[in-house]
Amino acid sequence: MSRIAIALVALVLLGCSNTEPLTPVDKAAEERETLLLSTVHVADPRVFEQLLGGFHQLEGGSWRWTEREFSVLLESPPPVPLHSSSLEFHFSVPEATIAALGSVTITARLNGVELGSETISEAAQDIVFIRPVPAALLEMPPLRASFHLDNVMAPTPQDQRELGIIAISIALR
Amino acid sequence: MQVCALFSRHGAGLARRAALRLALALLAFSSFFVATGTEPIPIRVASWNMGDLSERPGGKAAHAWDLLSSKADVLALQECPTPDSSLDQQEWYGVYEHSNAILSRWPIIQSGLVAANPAWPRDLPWADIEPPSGPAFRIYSVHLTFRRGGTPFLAQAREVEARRILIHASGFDGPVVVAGDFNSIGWILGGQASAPAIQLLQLSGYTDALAAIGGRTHALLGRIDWIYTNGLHSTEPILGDYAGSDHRWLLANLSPSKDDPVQVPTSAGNNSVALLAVTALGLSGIVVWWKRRVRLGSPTSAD
Repeated sequence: MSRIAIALVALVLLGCSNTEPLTPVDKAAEERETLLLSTVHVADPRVFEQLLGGFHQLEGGSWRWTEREFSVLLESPPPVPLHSSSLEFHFSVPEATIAALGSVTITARLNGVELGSETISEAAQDIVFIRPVPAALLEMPPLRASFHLDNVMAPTPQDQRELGIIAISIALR
Repeated sequence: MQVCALFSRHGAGLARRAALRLALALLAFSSFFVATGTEPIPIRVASWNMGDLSERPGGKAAHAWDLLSSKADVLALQECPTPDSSLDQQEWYGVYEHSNAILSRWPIIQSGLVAANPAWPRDLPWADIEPPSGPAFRIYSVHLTFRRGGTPFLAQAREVEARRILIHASGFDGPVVVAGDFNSIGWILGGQASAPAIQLLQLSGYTDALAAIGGRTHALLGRIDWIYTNGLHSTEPILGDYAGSDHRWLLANLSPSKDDPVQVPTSAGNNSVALLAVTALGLSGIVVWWKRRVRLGSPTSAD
């Protein structure tokens, strides 16, 4: 019994080594790799290439209108013990949108896997849409986060754009 | 005619000897210059997590600063005071981000930040520096994440950060120095050189500039500060004192490697020691066996 206790203490003190083999950073293999982020602020110039589509131009230096469909490319976040990952989308729905459409339902997918929906029927700033992400999905980065809106404001003579919601940031945490 | 021929032969011999002496002299002369004139001067690199020191001049930190700034040409600093603090950072070229900095006596050709962590802010400075002799080199001032969500057991997150630094460094065609506070702690007391971030550096061809002396750099957490190099070899490493910080400072003289850097995983050193021990044991066994044979007078020795 005491031997088992000593062995357990030794294991804790000496540390649990990473059992998965490390792959070295090889110059030739890594040259084409880019350093993607898992948090995409739509105003951050470092991540403009991660905005795959469905976003209009930057406004107010901090936000963008979306179209009906929009998507971003995200890196997996590093694992943190006792922490399960989730997809977080910060956005706003202005009064004009609710007045015109009544409500907007947003549906999120990650690499094609549906994570859930949420219906917004009141105008609000900085709405946080959070959905848990299955751990298995994170093992194949980069990940494509796609969003679909059931209602959008159609183009008008004054504004030829299709207007959905106001995107601020999308992240895997 | 004969005299002329003799003279010419004699003259030819003299000329050959003179030419030989001249050639030898030139060889010695040129080798002297090859050895001394074109040898790049070592790059003196120091790394120190200053632990947000805010001591006034005259304190331990100021003494350490004076020492480092007199002994080093390039400094990788973490948790360092802002540049407008009391520490005299004039006469240095610098890159500063948050509390991480690179200071250089020599011109910085190019600099920037690497987003070391994809999920949370961890932008670390790098700089390409042109020394007076030898090739330009790149240095990163590293401060890997210590704690997230209350837990310091982030070995894999730190490995991700180290990997992103190395991927960024792989775009530079020259020697690289990765120096700073790697927070290479493991579970409870484990970790250190076996931490995944450190293992990754070693597997990727980087070598520990302070391998010859080792030692802990943090009183509680052990060896968590490192200077790792690729394409440079280290001489005269120094592990300094705490000087008011909770980290010791590190210093190494780095010179361009003549050959490609040798990949030395941690276990290699242990394997070498083990091989040496086994060899020594084997040899001592043979000696003992031989002495016994001689003492007992075996048939072979009787012959």
